[in-house]
Amino acid sequence: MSRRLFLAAFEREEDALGATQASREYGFRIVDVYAPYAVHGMERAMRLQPSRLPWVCFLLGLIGATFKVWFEYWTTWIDWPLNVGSKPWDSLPAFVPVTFEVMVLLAGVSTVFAFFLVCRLIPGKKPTLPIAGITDNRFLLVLEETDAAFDPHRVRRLFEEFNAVQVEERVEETR
Amino acid sequence: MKSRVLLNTFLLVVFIVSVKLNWLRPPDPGRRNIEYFPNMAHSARYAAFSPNPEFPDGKTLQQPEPGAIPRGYRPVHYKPTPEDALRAGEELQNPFAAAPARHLDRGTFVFTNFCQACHGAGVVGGSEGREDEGRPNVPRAHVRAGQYALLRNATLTGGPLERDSLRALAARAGGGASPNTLSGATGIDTLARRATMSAENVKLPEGVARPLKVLIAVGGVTFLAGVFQAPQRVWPDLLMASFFLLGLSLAGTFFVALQYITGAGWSVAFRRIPEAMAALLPMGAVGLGVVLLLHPRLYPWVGTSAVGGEPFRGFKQVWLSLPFFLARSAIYLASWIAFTLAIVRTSRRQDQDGDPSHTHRNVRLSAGFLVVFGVTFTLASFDWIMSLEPRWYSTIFGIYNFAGMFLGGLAALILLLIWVQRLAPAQVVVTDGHLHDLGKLLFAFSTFWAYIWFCQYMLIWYANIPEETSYFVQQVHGAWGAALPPQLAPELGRALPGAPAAKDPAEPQRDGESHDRDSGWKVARPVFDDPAALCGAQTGPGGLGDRPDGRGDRAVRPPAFRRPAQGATGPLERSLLRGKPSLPHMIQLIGCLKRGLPD
Repeated sequence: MSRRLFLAAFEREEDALGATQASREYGFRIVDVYAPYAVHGMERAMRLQPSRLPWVCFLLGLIGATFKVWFEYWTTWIDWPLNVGSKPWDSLPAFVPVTFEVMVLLAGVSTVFAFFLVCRLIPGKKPTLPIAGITDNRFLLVLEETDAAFDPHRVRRLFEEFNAVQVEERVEETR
Repeated sequence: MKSRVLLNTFLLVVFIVSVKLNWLRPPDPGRRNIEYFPNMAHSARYAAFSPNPEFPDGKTLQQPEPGAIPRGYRPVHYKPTPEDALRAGEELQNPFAAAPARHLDRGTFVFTNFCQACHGAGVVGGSEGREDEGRPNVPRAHVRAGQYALLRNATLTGGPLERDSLRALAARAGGGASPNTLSGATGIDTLARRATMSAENVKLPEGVARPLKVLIAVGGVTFLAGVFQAPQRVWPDLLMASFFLLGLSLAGTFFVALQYITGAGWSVAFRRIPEAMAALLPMGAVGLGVVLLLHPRLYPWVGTSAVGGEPFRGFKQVWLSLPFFLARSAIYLASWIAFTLAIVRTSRRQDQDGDPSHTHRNVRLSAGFLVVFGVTFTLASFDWIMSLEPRWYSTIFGIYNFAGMFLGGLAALILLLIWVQRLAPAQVVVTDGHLHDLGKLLFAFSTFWAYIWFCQYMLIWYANIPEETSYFVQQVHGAWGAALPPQLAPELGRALPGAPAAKDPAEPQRDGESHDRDSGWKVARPVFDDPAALCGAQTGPGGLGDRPDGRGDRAVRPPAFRRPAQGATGPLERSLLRGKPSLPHMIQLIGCLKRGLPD
């Protein structure tokens, strides 16, 4: 299998945003958009799904808190009961600070690692840009030809309309 | 003769060798030449920022003479008014000819780097691509403030800046718009249409105003009856209500001051609402003044120098003396009201003339207010609330009250914002983005509040000092905790917003009650918090905590507390304490909030 890709580089954020929006409205399939920085509104223009990272954060935080509460109960009540100021064994307020810290630690660290995992970012990873160095100063929109109704001329016209500075067509082998 | 030739030859050789030597070792231009008699060559000089006794103002760096014109700068004599803007458009010439393409290239480069971020690509006033962030696209900070004021003034009063002249301005500015750019005229017109909000054209509908008036009357009658029938309940209640009102209004001033001091532009669009909240300040001050002047005996330290068998000495004796106490209270209230009036008046004045210098003035005023407020509010919460129980103290009490106050104020602000938007949808510049930001602020401050609350609670709980324990014993064993197992009650009932533990289980659930988990609760929070310190201190178990059906826990009764006299909790007070604002429209508002705030 091979797929045909259309690459367009833009010099301005507005052009990239507008071209992305228009491509989506025309029904072209957007493979990805490469930008030097996070462009506001781009996720809406590409109609990306909302990030699932908050769920990871929430769940891991919940697990951390639960684990820590259980652990404190276990140490102070079951395994080694210790009388602190005649408080009851199950003194929940005393557990709160540590529980909070462990919750934040687990939630924070796991979110970062989940992010790396999702992006497949590892130390020493080589950049996989379609055009080397494109995100130094430009924006790149990559469209994919999906079916026979796909009209390359229309795509080129659209790119021109949004002041694309470089348009490229590329056939990529996929396995 | 021969010796002469010899000498000349020798001198020639010396000359050539010395020149050759110079080539071999070229002189170092960075090296200083040798100086003979260096005494006067280098006089000691002043550093640019060091003090200087030679000049009248004592500084080394001197201001240019007034009226001095920098080199290469041509002064223009225009005022920041629309007429002068038009005149400038007529009279001024672009000093750069369009002919060499490098001028245009340079202009494009500069615009892309410095202007495009706010103005969008293309022309001044364009707003494409930015609009969907939820904010109208206008230039930043002070420019924006002045512009809004100008526009608001123009559209409200039909003042000098008519819409047509605005459009003319925009058309002039937007000569060559690029195809994907919204025209400048449309941008400014949208802005003008959106910026018409003011206090005058938002009116309370009669259906809301009438019940409110009835409630005021009912409240007045209840209060008067209570003064004679149950003074031991009425005075703490009035103190609580006044403190709550003060908190709401101070939150308004604080919010405005915070926005000024941080140079925030996003909140300009609805600044009228916190300003309106701040207008409550005198009402709260009056209520508080009534309590402090008419019934100072509310405070157990008044007229005595010993509370609970322990005489006051030293600082406490001086601090807790009635004249000093009243003078302090007057200073707090007066400084808050003065700052609020000054800030609001400057803001209104900007509506009239659109002068950006008002913003700078308000930034300075806000800085002053924040400093004064930080000190006075802490002391005020110590004085008015904490001294109700003079042997109980908590150094975090001021911050704790501030957190509750600002949290409640933010929630009220959001409710009012949504409500005003409903009342006059075409006239408020409120977008989803604004509500999102306010919601995030609310979330952050509820976390902050919980954090501070828990800091106070846990320290007191852990330290277990006898005179301090009354604070948490009531919370764990009073009616607040009766609904849940004692260990869970404080955490769930108070740390989580809107947890069922804090509701009165004797009261049947009403429809729409689940709506109030969010903001309604936070509005009520200061009212809800204060009784623990305030009414609890007054009556202890058997007072608020103890329901008439006797389900409260009477086993724990610290000796410091007095038994209350006759008079159970009144219905109005109970509804307040349950954290339920008894105004019917509030419930409706809370519904609006749920629908209005995405996520």
